[in-house]
Amino acid sequence: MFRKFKVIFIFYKGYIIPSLLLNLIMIFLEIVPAVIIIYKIFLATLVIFWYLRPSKSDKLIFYYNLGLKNRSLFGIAFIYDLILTAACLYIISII
Amino acid sequence: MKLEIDNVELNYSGKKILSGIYLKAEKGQITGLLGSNGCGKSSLLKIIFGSLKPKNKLIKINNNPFLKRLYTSKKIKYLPQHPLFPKDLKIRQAFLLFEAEWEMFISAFPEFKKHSEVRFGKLSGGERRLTEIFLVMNSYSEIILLDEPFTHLSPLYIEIITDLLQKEKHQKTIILTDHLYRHVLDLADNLYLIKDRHSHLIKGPTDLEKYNYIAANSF
Repeated sequence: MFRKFKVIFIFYKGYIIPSLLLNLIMIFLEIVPAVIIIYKIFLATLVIFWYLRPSKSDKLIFYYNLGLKNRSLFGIAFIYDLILTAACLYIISII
Repeated sequence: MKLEIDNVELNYSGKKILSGIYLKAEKGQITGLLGSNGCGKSSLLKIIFGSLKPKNKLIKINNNPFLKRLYTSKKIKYLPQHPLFPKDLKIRQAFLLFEAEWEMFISAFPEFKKHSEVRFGKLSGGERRLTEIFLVMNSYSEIILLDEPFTHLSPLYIEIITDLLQKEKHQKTIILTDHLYRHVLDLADNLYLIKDRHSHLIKGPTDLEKYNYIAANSF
């Protein structure tokens, strides 16, 4: 189980910096947390559609080799992103 | 384990790529797959693996239909033509994730001992390919699909990998395709050729001449 989360983190790692920057921009623009989450859901949907195009599905073969399904891969990666977003909101609120 | 794929129909942009495909692979044998460029060999491997969804297909494992994507069974590993591992993944980490034996790898390839903390992106094409083949071959799995495994490999490495394949075939069902057809011919116990969208069981080099895959008198 731990291995599964570790593998999905390898996938998510590439999105940490862009997501962090996006969070900071939206927080700086005083966008309310609920709207930030809606933006994130929209962007995550775009990312998923990008990966699931036949020409791009090869990029996921490493994860498929480890038995991961699309649902787990994208779902848990999105949870990681929600945790990052929540952490950003919390840190900004206590500064 | 016996793997069969039948009744494959794949269309792409309105063009028929594969139809009337049947292929059988069994434990203890290496099944070779040959065909000219763009004939659909890689697509067929992706269909078996489950990362490409065709219009029709029937996969059977030990005579029982398997209706889900095969990779979800965790019984299969697939080495694609392109680099398999993320560039920023360390080699040692890949061995842990694939549950392959690092000690066995460095005893076969001592020159890799210094690479344990190196990332895949820093390896040369040949080093990367060799590590990928070894990981795929030695991880826990019952079915192995190898798409052009010998690309970028030096003759010495090809020889070592060939020996490894001969050993591993006793525990695994292996399907192999490569443009270096002589290696495939040497290794394969069963051979299929994809020609004009269909699969053909090949019984000997003369069949390859008959289907114009190789020139007459090549052997």
